[in-house]
Amino acid sequence: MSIFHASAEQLELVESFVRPLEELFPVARLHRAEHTDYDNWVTAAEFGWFGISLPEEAGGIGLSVVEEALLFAQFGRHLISPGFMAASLAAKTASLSGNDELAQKILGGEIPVAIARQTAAGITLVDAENAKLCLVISAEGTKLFPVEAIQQRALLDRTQWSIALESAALPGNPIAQASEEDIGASINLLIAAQLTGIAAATLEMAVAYAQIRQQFGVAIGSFQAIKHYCTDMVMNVQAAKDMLSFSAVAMAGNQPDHRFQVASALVVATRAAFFNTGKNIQIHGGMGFSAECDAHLFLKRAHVLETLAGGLKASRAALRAENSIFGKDAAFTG
Amino acid sequence: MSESLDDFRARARSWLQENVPEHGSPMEGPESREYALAWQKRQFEGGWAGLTWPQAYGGKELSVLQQIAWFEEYARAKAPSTHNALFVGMNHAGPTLIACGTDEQKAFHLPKIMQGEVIWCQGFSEPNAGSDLASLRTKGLVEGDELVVNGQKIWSSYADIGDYQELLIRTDPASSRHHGLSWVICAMDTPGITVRPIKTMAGPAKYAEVFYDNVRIPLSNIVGGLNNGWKTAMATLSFERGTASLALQISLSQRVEELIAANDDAGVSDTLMDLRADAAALRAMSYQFAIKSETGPVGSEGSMIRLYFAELAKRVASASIDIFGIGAPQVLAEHGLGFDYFDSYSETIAGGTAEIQRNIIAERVLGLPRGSR
Ligand SMILES: Cc1cc2nc3c(=O)[nH]c(=O)nc-3n(C[C@H](O)[C@H](O)[C@H](O)COP(=O)(O)OP(=O)(O)OC[C@H]3O[C@@H](n4cnc5c(N)ncnc54)[C@H](O)[C@@H]3O)c2cc1C
Repeated sequence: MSIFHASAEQLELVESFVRPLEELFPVARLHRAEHTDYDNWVTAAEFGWFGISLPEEAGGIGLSVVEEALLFAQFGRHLISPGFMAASLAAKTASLSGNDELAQKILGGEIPVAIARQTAAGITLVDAENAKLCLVISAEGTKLFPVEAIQQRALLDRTQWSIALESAALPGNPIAQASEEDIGASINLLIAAQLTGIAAATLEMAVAYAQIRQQFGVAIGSFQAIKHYCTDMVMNVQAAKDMLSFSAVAMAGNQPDHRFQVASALVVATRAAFFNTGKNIQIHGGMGFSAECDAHLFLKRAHVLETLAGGLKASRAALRAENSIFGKDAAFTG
Repeated sequence: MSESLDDFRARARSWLQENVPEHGSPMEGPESREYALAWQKRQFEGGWAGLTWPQAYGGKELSVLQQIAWFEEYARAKAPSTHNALFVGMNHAGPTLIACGTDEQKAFHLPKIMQGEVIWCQGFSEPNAGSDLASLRTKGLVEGDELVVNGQKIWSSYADIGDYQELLIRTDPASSRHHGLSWVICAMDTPGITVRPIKTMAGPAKYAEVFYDNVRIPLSNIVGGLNNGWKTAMATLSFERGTASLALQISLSQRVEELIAANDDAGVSDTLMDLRADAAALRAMSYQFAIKSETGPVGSEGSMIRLYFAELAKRVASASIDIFGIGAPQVLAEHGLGFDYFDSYSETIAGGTAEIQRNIIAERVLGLPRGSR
């Protein structure tokens, strides 16, 4: 049964993909300043993680965006560098530009890629210190540049958001590019997926803590205020997960309204991630506020991903531009 | 040979096009009863009644995908809201009888409900037993082969126009809490019953107070066994939102689209886009839930969808007032946005308040410890 949602087979397949994640990417690694997810770049390429939805002829795994979205939700949970999303989007960008050779090299893990968002001032690079290519996202689509072509790079910070941020000027001619029309839904889907993973991880963290932490002689999870926060968190997760699966299936099937569904998924997941990461800190009390606790890492990553998507405000505006099948002249389809 | 889903949808669409009543339902009283029964009868005659009910009782037992297609088309055709006087019969009483009733009870009542002959109402809440339903006090004493009922129910929707009531009473006088209760079928024309309609903040008299003065009900009307009523009542509450609510959920998406079409003010656009995305997510959640429930028991996840729907419905209704203002014609009209807005306040109260739903989700979905109540 997969006209609306991911099938049992798809879910099972992704389960097998995610097994190595806990060992390779424990969240605790982010507490070590010297860690970099690019240490596992080649391993990730060998697992096929960068080309889940690209056809086998193009060097991909030949599955669909449904499996890809489910995998990236797991990446979100593990706070894996957004560079991994850059690899997938860069391979798609190269392939859409007709540069299959470049796509193959990216998929093979030969050329590490970083991600950046175009802003009014130039570009903001994220975790770009180990990359050779940089994928720049803007409202127009994606552009791919060699890292050495990027001028005026300046490290903004590497601690505040628990990831390295740099500013730079927007370079000239890209070596590959894709229009928003061709790649926008892929960007939004992968970001929505990671935000959904963050919302789910923080829900689990909060519920686990609410069951063990005792005050007034009982678990704090027996207090209604805490229960009701947790309930709102689980509803956010349910909504974001089901919306993600629904929109990915619509996209894989090239349904006429798939852009609407994906744009909805991004808005729902962004708000879910902000709410859940914030409440997770609250439920952890004083410890939740400490740097030692993982809670803040999720909040910070949610901000980084939201920024890469162009910001919640822009995501809402993008949704405004799409047509719902429930709109005025729209026809329902099965 | 079975019909393809597309053909099914096309057939539903054209039937609805020809048969959906031109005018909305009268707001209350006998006219609203006649309207609801006529619409149900028409659906039955067209072969569109009891879509989710077992074939053994005259239902259609459609697949989940067909149900989804039907309710999408139902909403698209702007057919009468499924949250009307038929709601209790179709969505509570019918399913409860199917699950817990005797063969005689099923054979007598189910066809009447499906064919649009009777209206059911629910008599659970009492003045002092709302969220704490198990504290109810209306008594039924066994006398020979009858129960003699005395007491009072309140907030019983459609009791003034109902033929039968699902009545939850204490039949073991020595019992307390959820022990010693019985779920009985109460014919509303039995001597000793007085119904006093109560107006809602939205205007119409939608629910009622019901008084029972030595009301005699045959023991054969007990559903699920004497003093075993709590179990039956829990079954009833679990049916509160079946796939019938899909039509309501889809019409929520339609209402959001109407607001978007009517409004170009950047100031409320963020709110509208959140509503739009949330309505899309509600649809994704409900379809997932419906698909899962076809293959096995789904547990308390339904409470999440119910609560999500309730709060979203309130937000949509409130946004429509913000956008149009209190004096706009579409707000003031009968069946207008003003009515919808006031009526939406009941969403987080009726059928278990939002707070109670949150307790249920926290304890049954998340496994958090029960607290003091
Ligand atoms: C439109 C409408 C139709 C209805 N139709 C029917 C019907 O057909 N049949 C029927 O039997 N009943 C019906 N009801 C009644 C409905 O089920 C009750 O109103 C509801 O269960 C709440 O009970 P109460 O009104 O006594 O409020 P109370 O239980 O007194 O609640 C008052 C407030 O306290 C809060 N509260 C209570 N207990 C807790 C707790 N443990 N934790 C946190 N907060 C708590 C509630 O959430 C609420 O905010 C209807 C109600 C409405 C509004």
